[in-house]
Amino acid sequence: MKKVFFFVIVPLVFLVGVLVVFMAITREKPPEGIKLALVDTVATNFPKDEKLARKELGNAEKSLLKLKPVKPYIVIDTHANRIYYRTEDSIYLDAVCSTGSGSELIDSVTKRKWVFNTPRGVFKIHNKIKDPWWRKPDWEFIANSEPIPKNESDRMDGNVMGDFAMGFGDGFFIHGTIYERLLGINVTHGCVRLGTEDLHKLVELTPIGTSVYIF
Amino acid sequence: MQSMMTSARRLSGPIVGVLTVSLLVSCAGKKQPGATTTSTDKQWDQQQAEIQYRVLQAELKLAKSNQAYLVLDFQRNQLEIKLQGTTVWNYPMTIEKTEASELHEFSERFMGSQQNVVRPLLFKYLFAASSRTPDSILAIVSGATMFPSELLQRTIPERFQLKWSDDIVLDIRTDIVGKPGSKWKNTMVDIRQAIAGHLGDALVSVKMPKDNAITLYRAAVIGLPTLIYPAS
Repeated sequence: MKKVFFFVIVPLVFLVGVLVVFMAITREKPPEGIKLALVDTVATNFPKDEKLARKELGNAEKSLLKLKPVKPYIVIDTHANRIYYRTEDSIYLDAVCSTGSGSELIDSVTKRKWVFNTPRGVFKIHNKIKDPWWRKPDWEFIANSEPIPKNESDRMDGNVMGDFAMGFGDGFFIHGTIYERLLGINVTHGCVRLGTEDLHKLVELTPIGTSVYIF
Repeated sequence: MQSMMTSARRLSGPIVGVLTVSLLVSCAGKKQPGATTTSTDKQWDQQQAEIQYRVLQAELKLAKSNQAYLVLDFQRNQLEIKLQGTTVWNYPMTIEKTEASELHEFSERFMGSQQNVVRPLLFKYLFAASSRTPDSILAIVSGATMFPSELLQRTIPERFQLKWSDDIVLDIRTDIVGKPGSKWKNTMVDIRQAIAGHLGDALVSVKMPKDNAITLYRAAVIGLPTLIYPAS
């Protein structure tokens, strides 16, 4: 009996103890400030009657369908630096692009701050410009330690945005680049750069008003 | 005798016809595995319909926000990232080492006793990864653009895990060979999961190409709302 106790039960209890301690030590703590109940889906008033239930389910399916764009849309994947012209089921264009670096610039004199991110969310193509000129913002001069010009024409540069630019609001554009080697790397100040060939294809495919989804 | 044979032949035509029609009708009425109840289904499953209704309601709520959300669609075997109800990224899942019963267990664990179909992502663990752009090139780019090189680098994951509360794990693997972050920690995580697996851990393993993995790894920020279309 003593042998069973020392050679079977004690090692077994020890092993279970080690396992419990190991599991407790290696258990990750959930990060603070995360809301666990994001959407309350518990209190649904789903009818018990089959006919009413079918109608209710049909209405929900229709509401969700309404959210999906009827026409093709542009998707910009800032994580992998890719741009798509697609529908829910088909992809018509898949190209490499460059998006915002996410870096910060602070003007030491005025303390103005810029974060060079491509904005996330849903936008629309407002305009298409052929042979666009870049109007250099203040940050371009501050980053290069140059004085901000008083003359508007000193801000204009006609050689950096490629053959076309498509604006999607707030001064952000999908445009070409003279630095095609950098495509695929997050090197922009928030705009979306594309290679010449892909830019031409996208401009041809995209009507004004097309939805742009950026994530 | 001959008349009997003739009448038998006469009867066999309609019988074969009736059997063919009934077979076709029964096949058409049969639900495909993985299919779910919709408002137009002939065979009605009230419980399944209620879950489907919850999922749709939850997605309608998530779609109202301007924030992306992840969808684990086990009905169509698809992983999706959606923004305002529109698919912005999708990947048809090649589920590894996972049986149908494990998908059910994962779905059931995810929904829990309260049948909640949305959970926030709580943990993300990277086992091994490699850099997409060589550091020497990024150093030159960084010098020219004045952007810090660490912001320009993209990690290609070899293997990573997304984890929700109650030990629900999605394990993602790619074909690349990466550098492990910490071999010791990786071993600990694997041992823990091997033990937890026997205690009822819910783990689904998915294989995907590296480009898809880059997007999922980066888009899966802690707190990301995750919606499940449960395996039926």
